Amino acid sequence: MQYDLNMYEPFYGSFVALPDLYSLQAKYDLIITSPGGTRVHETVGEPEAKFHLVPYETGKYRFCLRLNQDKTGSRYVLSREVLWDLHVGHADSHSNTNLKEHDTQSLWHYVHQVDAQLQQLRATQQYLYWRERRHRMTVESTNRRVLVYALVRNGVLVLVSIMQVVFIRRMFSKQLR
Amino acid sequence: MEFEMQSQIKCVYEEINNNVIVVGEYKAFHKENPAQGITVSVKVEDPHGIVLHESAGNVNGQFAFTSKQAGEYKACFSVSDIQTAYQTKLKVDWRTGVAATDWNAIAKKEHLDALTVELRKLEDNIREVYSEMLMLQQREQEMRNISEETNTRVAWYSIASLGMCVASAAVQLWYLRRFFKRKKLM
Repeated sequence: MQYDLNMYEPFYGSFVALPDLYSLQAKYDLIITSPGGTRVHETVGEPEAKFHLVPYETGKYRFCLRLNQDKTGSRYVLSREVLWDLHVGHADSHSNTNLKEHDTQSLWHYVHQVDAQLQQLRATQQYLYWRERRHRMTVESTNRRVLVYALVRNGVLVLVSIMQVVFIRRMFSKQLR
Repeated sequence: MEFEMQSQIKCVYEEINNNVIVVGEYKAFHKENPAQGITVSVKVEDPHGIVLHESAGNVNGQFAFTSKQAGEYKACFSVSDIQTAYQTKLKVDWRTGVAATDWNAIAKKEHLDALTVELRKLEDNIREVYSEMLMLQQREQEMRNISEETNTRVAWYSIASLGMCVASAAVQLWYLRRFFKRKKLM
């Protein structure tokens, strides 16, 4: 994915990978490349991560999310789900603004700061929300599994005891004959 | 956000809350030559599959709606054939809530200066943060309930298994005694 970003606009983002079939967890690498071609951020082999950056170049930033083949257990899956989020803040203008705004200059500065922190808050919140969803999947599957395992366990128990009785009967029937 | 269309249909999903203004803009152009536009058809659906916006044969366009329910909304873009798809780059700008409201119109209507507009934006943002936080709290509570139920279930099912084990042992003993008594071995 590519986003157009301006210089000095801090951005905050996160990604959360949902588990594949059979609850196997896929791990991803995130690589952020600046318009100049340098890798500004890299996360390796994480199922979920949060990041924030202040870009020093204006232009198209490329965000590449790639599956980490070595760390991911599952192969040959038809589809994978990754949840992605990105927030962009305001830039503090470093160029000279006109004099009549001089009174409110510092006020603007604070407003921008608060806005940046708010964006960070929203990004973190979104990250937590996605993580909660992913953890909810684990919890629900545990709940289901407990029931299934209990039923299977009881079934096997009953079966084994019936088989024991049948074998003993057969054993003694053969002996009597 | 820009991305390349590697397949004939590409969908962008966004999870949106109830009663939120959603505005989307899209533009399709050639990968090598951004000036050359490529016609693409759009279909925007709500979580239940009801089509909210549909158009075909446009290079760029806009859609806007207010969400009636919370859930996953999707916007699907499709090109005529897969060859064009490999050459197409899509630029999608999807804004919800604060970023979607028309601040210029509000500023003009209420004669607000730039600083007040920014502060209003912050206020709306904080409101959204608060309501999302409440929702997150509720979801965590539900999850906690499920965890506790699982915990209880594990305990009860273990006792039940143990009981089954003991019961089947007792039934076996009783049955075999009856069997041997009948065969006059005991």
